[in-house]
Order: sequence, then structure tokens, then C-alpha cells
Amino acid sequence: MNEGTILLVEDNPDDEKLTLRALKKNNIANPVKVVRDGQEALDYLFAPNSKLPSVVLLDLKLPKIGGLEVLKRLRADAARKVVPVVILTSSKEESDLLGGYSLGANSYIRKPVDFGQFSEAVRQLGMYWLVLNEAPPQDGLRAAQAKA
Amino acid sequence: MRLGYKILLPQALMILLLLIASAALLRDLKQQEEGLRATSQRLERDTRLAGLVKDVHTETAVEVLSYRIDKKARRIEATLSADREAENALKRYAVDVTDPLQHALMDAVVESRDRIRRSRLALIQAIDAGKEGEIQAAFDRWRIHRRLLDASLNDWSALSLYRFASASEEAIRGRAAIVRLLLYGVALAIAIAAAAFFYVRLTVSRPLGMLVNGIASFGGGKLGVRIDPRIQDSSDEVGQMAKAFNKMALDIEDLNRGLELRVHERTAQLEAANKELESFAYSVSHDLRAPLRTIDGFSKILEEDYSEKVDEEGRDSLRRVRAAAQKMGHLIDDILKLSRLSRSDMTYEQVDLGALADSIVAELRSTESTRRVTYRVAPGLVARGDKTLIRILLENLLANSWKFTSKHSTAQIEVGAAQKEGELAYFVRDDGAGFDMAHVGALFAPFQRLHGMSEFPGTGIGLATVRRVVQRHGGRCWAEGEVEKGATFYFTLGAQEPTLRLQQTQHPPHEREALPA
Repeated sequence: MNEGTILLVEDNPDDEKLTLRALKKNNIANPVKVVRDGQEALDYLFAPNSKLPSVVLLDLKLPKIGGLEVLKRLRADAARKVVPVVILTSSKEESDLLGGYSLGANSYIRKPVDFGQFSEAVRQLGMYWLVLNEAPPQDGLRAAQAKA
Repeated sequence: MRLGYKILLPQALMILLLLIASAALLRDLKQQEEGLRATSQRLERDTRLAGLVKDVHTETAVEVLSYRIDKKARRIEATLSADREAENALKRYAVDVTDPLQHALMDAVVESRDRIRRSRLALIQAIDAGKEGEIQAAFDRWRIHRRLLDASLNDWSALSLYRFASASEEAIRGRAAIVRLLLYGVALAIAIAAAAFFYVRLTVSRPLGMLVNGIASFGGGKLGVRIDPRIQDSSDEVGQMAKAFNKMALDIEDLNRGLELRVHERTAQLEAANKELESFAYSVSHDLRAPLRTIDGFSKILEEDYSEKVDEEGRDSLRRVRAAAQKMGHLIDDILKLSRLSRSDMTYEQVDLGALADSIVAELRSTESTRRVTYRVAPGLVARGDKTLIRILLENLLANSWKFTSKHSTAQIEVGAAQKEGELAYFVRDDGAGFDMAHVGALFAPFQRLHGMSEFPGTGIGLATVRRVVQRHGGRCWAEGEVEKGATFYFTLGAQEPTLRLQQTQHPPHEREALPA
């Protein structure tokens, strides 16, 4: 079991609460860092000597800086581009799907209205990214940071 | 100058030339004829006169000779009077003669006659005197003078003949000249005709040709074509046409430009409107769903965490709240899908309806493999339209048929084409729940349902989607049904008739039956 952080980028407090509840309900005990907008997300990710989260749950419609822009800057950075990013959004618009995947998102999940389904989706996300998936090594980050 | 005159002018010129030439030739001919006639007359007169003189002198000689023999003066007086007559004739004739040579010859004749007269007189005197020696001498002298006269008369005749021959020769030469002139005239006429031809071609055919080409070119789409201004300036009908055409071409070009501008504006407006719709759909998909999630999620939390504090009534209420929220989610999705149908671009191609229907039915079967459904599709069903939209249309119709036959143990679904109301239309038919024809008007309206959610699930957007697709293709759709007997949904896809490659009578539609898994 991966002990890494989950970075939740979500501006809607209701959705935040529901997501956290879903995580708890499914016994995912990893620390969760919540940021409310794109700027906060970038500040957190690009803070000096920061640890890479095990997965970023990224909403697209965010104030200040949008989700796709955050993803773009993340993928542009040599050290941080390895972070798994799961886009978690209401939108199923083709433009968003295309944008997300072309910018290098690892996955694109549409938030269902039904909470049961939502909970199930979160459970599967947790199981996959925190249990099954191998997180990128932290050493890589430090090595890249040393190089930078 | 008018066109008619331009063509007439060279012809008039030629006719004039011919007339002048003919007149000149005729005059020449007449002159020659007259000349010849005059000469011929002169010859005749000369010959007659010479003949007369000869006769006179022959008579006289005969008389003189006979007088010498028998000294009887017979017709001396008569001959003398004839002689006098000849004298007068000669005198009269001499007045008209202009030719110096002829004049000289005539003078010689007159002189000879004088000598003859004198010698004749002397002879007669000698004969009267009776001296034989003198008679002979006088006779010889008289004979010599007579010979001289003959010679002069012969010379005179010869000259006349010679003059006549010359005149004839000249006449012949003159005729030849006339013929030559005639030939030159013909050649000139041909040259003028050729010149006229080129002239007409230059001033009529070529400008007309350019006009025709210009018009054809303009009609073919080259709106910048204009007729050469030089043609336009010509004052005849062709010039007028060219002027009118150039003006018209300019006007059309301007109109076109104006139209294009307006089309541009209109297109820009449409694009702007479309963009607005897109962003609206985007907002809807995002902003409306989030509160729904909240409603559903927190209701569930209430259910789960406060189950002891909430009684069955309360739990029922919460269930309804959640159901409503979820339904609204579906509605939003459906509306979005419907609006997306109106926005997308259509690409027209040949679509195999049979193959599409087959694949959709296969998908439906895979979701509910236990159902027994007989599915038939007519072979060779092709249509022209947007493949994606047509697929959506068939999905909706077939899913409906699948759904509304689910209450029956067996079901029949058929896809084909038929002659309806004078045109060929495609159809999807089932023998399921059907509908009351009294409600047929509401069938294709969005969210209108003829069955309750408990009977058959659905939002009522399927047929509205079908109608939208059909509308975008410029076709129409309608339905026929009977309660519990089934329903048939017809649709056309635009002005082009649906085509069946094979006649349905020749090849019966193939049947497929699903077997339980």
C-alpha cells in the first residue's frame, strides 16, 4: 500500500466533502491535500523540496488557473511530469477529453451524479492508483531537482 | 454605321464597279462596230466607184474600137454621159476623202481619165482624118493611158482593201482587248469580293465572335471578362451589344461582391451564434451537474449516517430526492446530446443501413442475450447521408423497438423500405407495445412519453433525436401503430430517394433469430 499523498484539486466544497467521504468510506487512508484553485495547485506542486503526490485528482473548471493549464505546466516540468494525474470532472465534452489526453493526463473520469456510482469510482481510483499502480520514485524528483 | 450597311457597302461597291466596267466596255464595242462599219461602207463605195469607172471606160473603149473599125458613132453620147456621171461621182467622193494617200490615188485616177479623154479625142480625130499611121499612134497612146487608169484603179482598190483589212485587224485586236479587260474585271470583282469577305469578317464576324466568347466565358463563371473597348466604340449593333454587355457584367460583378460580403457577414454571424451555443452547452454540462451531485451525495449521506434518526417515510423522501437528481442528470445529458446533433457538421457519404442496423442489433443482443428476438433486414438498403447521425437515428429506433417489445415473450423487429404516400421511405417495425394513433402528434416531441416510467424506462428524447437527424438531412418521419400490435416508424433522408439495389420481390429479406445463450 502506497503511503503517498493524494492531491485533490477541487473548487466545489460539496464535491470536496463527497470525495473525502468516498475515500474514507472505501478505507483509503492516505493523506489528502486539498487545494481550491489552479494557482494553489501549482504553488503546492512547485514548492521547493516538495514531495510528489502519488496521484493528482484534477478538476478542470477551476478559478484563477484552469485544470488543463495546471496539467500543461506539470507536464512541462522535467521532474514533475511523471506524476499520475486523473482528471475528475463533470464535463464529457470532446474538447476537454481531447485536451486532457493530449496534454498527458493518465486518466479521465466523469463525475457521476449518483453518489453510489461516484463512491464506487473513487474506490476504484484509490485501488488502482494507490494499491495496484507503482508510484514514480521520489529519488527521481530529488535527482532532477539537484540537476536543475 | 449599322451592321446591314457594313455588309451592303462592299457589295454596292462591286456592283458599281461592274456597271462602270460594263458601260466602258459597251462603249468601246460600239465604237469599234461603228468604225468597222464606216470602213466597210467606204470599201463598198470605193469598189463601186472603181467598178463604175472601169465599166465606163470599158464601154467607151468598146465604142472607140468599134468606131475605129466601122466609123459608126454608136453610143458615144451615151457613154460620154455615163462618163460625166462617173466624173461627178468621183468629184463628190473626193470631198469626203481625208486619207492623203487615197486622195493622191484618186487624183491619179482623175488625171488618167483626163489623159484618156484627150487621147481618145485625138484618136477619134485621127480616125476621122483617116491617116492610118496617126490612128495607130493615137490608138497606142490611148491604150497606154487606159492601162495607166487600170493601174491607178487597181492601186486605189488595193488601198481600199488594205485599209479595210487593217480596220478589221484592229477590230479583232480591239475585241481581244475587250475580252482581256473583261477578264481583268472579273478578277477585280473576285478580289473585291475577297476583300469584302475579310472586311465583313473584321467588322462583323470577329466582333460577334468575341462577343459570344465573352458572354460564354462570363456565363461560365469568369466574372471579370469584358468585351474589348474598341468593339464597344463601334457605332453598329454589335458595338451596342458589347457596350450593354460590359455594363451588365460590371453590375453583376458588383452585385456578386455585395452578395459575397453579405454571405460573409451572415456566416460570421452564424459562426458566432454557434460558438455561443457551444459554450452554453459546455456550461450546462458542467455547472448544472455539480449541484445535482451535491443533492444526490448528501441525501445518500443522510440515508447512511442518520438511518437510525430517519424513519421509513424520511428514507422514502430521500430516495425520491436522489431519484429526481439522477433523472435530471439524464435529462441534461439527453439535452446536450440533442443540441450536439444540431451543431455538428455533416459529411455526406453512401451509408449501408443494413450493416449499421446489424451492428446495433448485435449490441442490443449482447446486453440482453436471453431475449428471443427475430430480426429481419431488407438487403441492399443504402442511403446518402452523415454516417454518425444516421447511426444515432437507427440506434434510437432499434433501441425503442427492443425496449417496447421486452414485455412480449417473442419479438419481431424488421428494417426495410416501402412505398408510402407516393415516395420510398425506410422503416423500423416491431410487434411490441405499440401506441394509440390518437397520440401520434406528441410522439416526436422531446420528453413526451406515452408510457409511464414504471412500464418502460426512458426520458422521451429518443424520437426527438430521430426527428432532429431526419430534419438535418432534409427528410421527414412519421409513425403508425396500434396498441399491443406494434409500431412502424418511417423516415426519409432528403430529396434523394432511398435506393434498393435489389428488388425485394426477387430476393426475400434474410431472417435471423436469436437463440438463448
